[in-house]
Amino acid sequence: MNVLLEAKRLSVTFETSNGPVHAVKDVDLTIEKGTTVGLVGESGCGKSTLGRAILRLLPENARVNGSVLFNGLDLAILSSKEMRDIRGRNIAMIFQDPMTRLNPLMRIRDHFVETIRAHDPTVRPEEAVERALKVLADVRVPADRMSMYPHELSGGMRQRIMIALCLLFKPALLIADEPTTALDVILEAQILQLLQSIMHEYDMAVLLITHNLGLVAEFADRVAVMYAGRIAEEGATVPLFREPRHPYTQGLLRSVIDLDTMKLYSVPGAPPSLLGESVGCPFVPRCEKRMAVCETVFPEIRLVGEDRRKVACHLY
Amino acid sequence: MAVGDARGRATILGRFVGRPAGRLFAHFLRESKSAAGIIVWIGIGIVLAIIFMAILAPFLAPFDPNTKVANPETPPGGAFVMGVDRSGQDVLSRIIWGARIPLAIIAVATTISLAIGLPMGLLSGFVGGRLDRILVLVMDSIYAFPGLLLAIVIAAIIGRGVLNISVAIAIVYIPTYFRVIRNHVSQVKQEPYVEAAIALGMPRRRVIMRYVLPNVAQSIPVIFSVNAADSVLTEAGLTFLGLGLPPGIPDWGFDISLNWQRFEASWWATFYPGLFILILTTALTFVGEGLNDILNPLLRKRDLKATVEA
Amino acid sequence: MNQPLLDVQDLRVHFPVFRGFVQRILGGGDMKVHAVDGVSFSIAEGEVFGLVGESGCGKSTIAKTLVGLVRASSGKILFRGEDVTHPDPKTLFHLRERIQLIYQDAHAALSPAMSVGEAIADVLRTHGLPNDAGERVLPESEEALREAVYRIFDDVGLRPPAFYYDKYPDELSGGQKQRVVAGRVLALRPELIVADEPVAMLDMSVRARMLEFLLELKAKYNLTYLFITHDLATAKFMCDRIGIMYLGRIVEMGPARTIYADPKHPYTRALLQAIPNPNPERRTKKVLPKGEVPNAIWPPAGCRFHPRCPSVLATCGWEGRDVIALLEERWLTPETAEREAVVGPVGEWEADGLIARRDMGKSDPAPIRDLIAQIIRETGGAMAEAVREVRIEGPTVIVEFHPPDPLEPKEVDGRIVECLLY
Repeated sequence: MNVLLEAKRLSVTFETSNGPVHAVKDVDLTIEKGTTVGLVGESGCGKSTLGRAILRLLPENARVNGSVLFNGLDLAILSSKEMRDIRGRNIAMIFQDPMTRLNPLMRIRDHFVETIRAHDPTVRPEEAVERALKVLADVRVPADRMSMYPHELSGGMRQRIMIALCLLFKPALLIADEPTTALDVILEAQILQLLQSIMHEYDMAVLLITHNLGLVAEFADRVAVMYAGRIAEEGATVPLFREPRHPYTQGLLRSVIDLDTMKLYSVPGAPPSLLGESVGCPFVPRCEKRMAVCETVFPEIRLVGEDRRKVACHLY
Repeated sequence: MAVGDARGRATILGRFVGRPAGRLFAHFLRESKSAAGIIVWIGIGIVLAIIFMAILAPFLAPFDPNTKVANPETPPGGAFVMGVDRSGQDVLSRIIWGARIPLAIIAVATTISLAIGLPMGLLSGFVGGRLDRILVLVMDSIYAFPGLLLAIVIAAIIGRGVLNISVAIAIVYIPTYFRVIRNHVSQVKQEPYVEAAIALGMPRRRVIMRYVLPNVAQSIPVIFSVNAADSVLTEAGLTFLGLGLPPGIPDWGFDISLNWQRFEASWWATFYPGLFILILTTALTFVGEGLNDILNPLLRKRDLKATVEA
Repeated sequence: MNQPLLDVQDLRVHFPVFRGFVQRILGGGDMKVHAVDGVSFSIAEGEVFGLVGESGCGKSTIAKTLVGLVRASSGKILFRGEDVTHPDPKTLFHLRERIQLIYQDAHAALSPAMSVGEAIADVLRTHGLPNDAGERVLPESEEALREAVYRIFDDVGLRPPAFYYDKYPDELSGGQKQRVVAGRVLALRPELIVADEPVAMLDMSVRARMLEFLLELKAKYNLTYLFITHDLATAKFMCDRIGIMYLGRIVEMGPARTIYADPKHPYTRALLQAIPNPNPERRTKKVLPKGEVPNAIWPPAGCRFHPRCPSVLATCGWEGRDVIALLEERWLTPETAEREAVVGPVGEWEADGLIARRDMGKSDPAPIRDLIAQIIRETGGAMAEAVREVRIEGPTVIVEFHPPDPLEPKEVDGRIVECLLY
């Protein structure tokens, strides 16, 4: 079976003092082995929450429903200990701000040794250091950085080290949550090139969570577009970009300033609040093509077209 | 955004109290039902009760506190709910009247501390540089002294009397205000909105008063109450030593000094003053710590939003 | 009138690095961050001039210097011909009525304790309301002040104004806050607005609207913009002329269209290439510069981009540090590192201007000299050409480079480039 990860009707609701916030609603998402899936959407659409839900890295007030099957194993029902084993070993995650993700009081070497020994206490420190050096070479970080503290390193280097920490156990899936948002454009391109080469070498699947459509166009095999906690559209990258079907996707693509054509567009209105219950399609207030049925009935996902695109829209 | 009753109330309060305070109050009301909120209400309740007790002393006290009304060291019972001390005076009446001195001293002392510590902290934090370094050095030196000891030394220097004691206590607590405000100000100073205000040409004074102060104001009630709590103990200590007492008005600390040697014979005469000192201190602490929990999560709330927002 | 609105000449802004007492005694004296190191440009009235560069290039520092938040270390800033480089407080106060700043993070730029209406009212109270005669008059009453704020809200599209007056920043969306910030700045009726990444923190679907909004304001109020961004796409859309900045200097400057159509400086080319292309059907293999932007305390010699430049020449500024970087990169491959271990470790090599040296102590320096010479030959390219000599002095192996050619801005094809390729 080629399917590595399959989320089925995954929902995440936060219990807040203002009421329930439905960050993720009924999401189905599939990631196949060795492929890249881009999860795009703007801030507040739930994409980061979804990424964290897979690894069960959510705060205490989160209620999760649905299942997350990883190689057939349902992550949602595992015990805490079993989940800890999975994290870092089978599924790894890198985050947006490399500045704050490394312990400022620990040398780089210690980060590696601790991570390795946390999963496998039988490994001796010297062996751990050797494994660390191998991985560092893969991410093009010189060996002498091992004895340094995080604040002595540049942002790009820290992000590479984070990636290296993820690679230690050759995970089958890497979740990258806005890994380059805080980085400049050249550094971003470098990190992405690095991720691409690593993916092939390690035969790793990547879930790239980002708001940057350009990154997704360059990097991902498949794209899932999220809006207001739901998947609006999902499909193979090239056909989706060529012919977006959901009005939100269309608006989103038009709002990217293409350097060649200099088109300019923005989607009117603002994303809805995720607080409380909602009726109908969440995009209705901003949709140019809305119909009467859109206000009352939520459009379930349907398959459209030759490329079997998933679209949540009544137009189809 | 959730709109509820609290916000409506806030607008009304806001026009009364002044905008930033109004919002704070609304938030406070909203949080009242939480554990921290209940603690604050309990604390405020107790403090208010003691204040009323002190004000209404002439009406509440069954006896004159300075007159011998019964055999010395009569145990509690009957007309003497808290017993009679070694001088034959009714303990209950002395307790009721004895609230006045501590409350007066603390009110004056904390007000002086605030009036001096706050502006100094603001200025020092904002201006920085050499002035800041000198002030911090001075304040830290004062802060390093154990409060009671310092108060005693100052009282010994400036002499007895209620006002003098208040000043002595005030001096001990000025550094606390200074430090907390100064640190908060140095942090707020770096915030982009302060820079923006400067870039817009706001004169320095305006920047401090309208852009910095409102944003550090949330620390003040907390320091105020915790300081007050601490001052109760310091005051009790000083009056225990007999400093700063006007003739004729009893005081809890003084009563302890009067009666503690006779503890085995008449424990009630020492116990009740001590108990009330404890109650007042604890009540003020409740107010301070509870406020801390309530006001500071204004920051915590932002974190929750961040988690939700993606 | 051909006098530019703003004329910046050889501006340098250096920040002292705070080093502890002991550190200072131990070595090197005071260090400086060369945030802006010799920048010259001018902006004509009514123009949108863009400063484009990655973080750390100095563009934000220039923004702050222009509004007086940061002091220039040397150079000149002329506003309508008047020297405003080091203004006294009174001049500064009035200068701020003419040059203003829009921030990247609109939320952080507004005090959380003040309603947005108050925030604007405060500015009007301080500077007065500009009246039709062009003077500033203090408002007569609270109502007049409120009315003025309502007018500003209206101008920036926050309607109904009365609704927004009492709102606090955390009750508004990113786009709304940015409009408040714009309104606050417009209350002063400035002539030049420096916009520091105004849309970087906004969602993509909202950015276009904000950019349009900024252009509308420009037309309505006869504004001139200095637009600062790291996003080339935005810059191309908004700007008439742009300057590409790298590590404190402008490396290419000219009309936006000219530069985008045919970027000359290798850094500009790299920036354009690096932008993720939202067209999946045209995935190209990118040639990216290696490494990262070095720190501004010790910028590279000669052309600052030379250690990373894909088109570097022998005369671009090779120096001792580059040898060390070469060794470091070379030894990322464990096999090579082992084979050439005798030349290492990297920490033993010292860089001193044009020289890289290694003191071998008691060991024989000859084999090291031969090996390092061979490494350099193998590497080849501009670096090898730039080596003047590999020699031994006593126990020390020395690699010495030729000094670089002087670097000067030149006009090439309608724009100015600072690169030895031309």
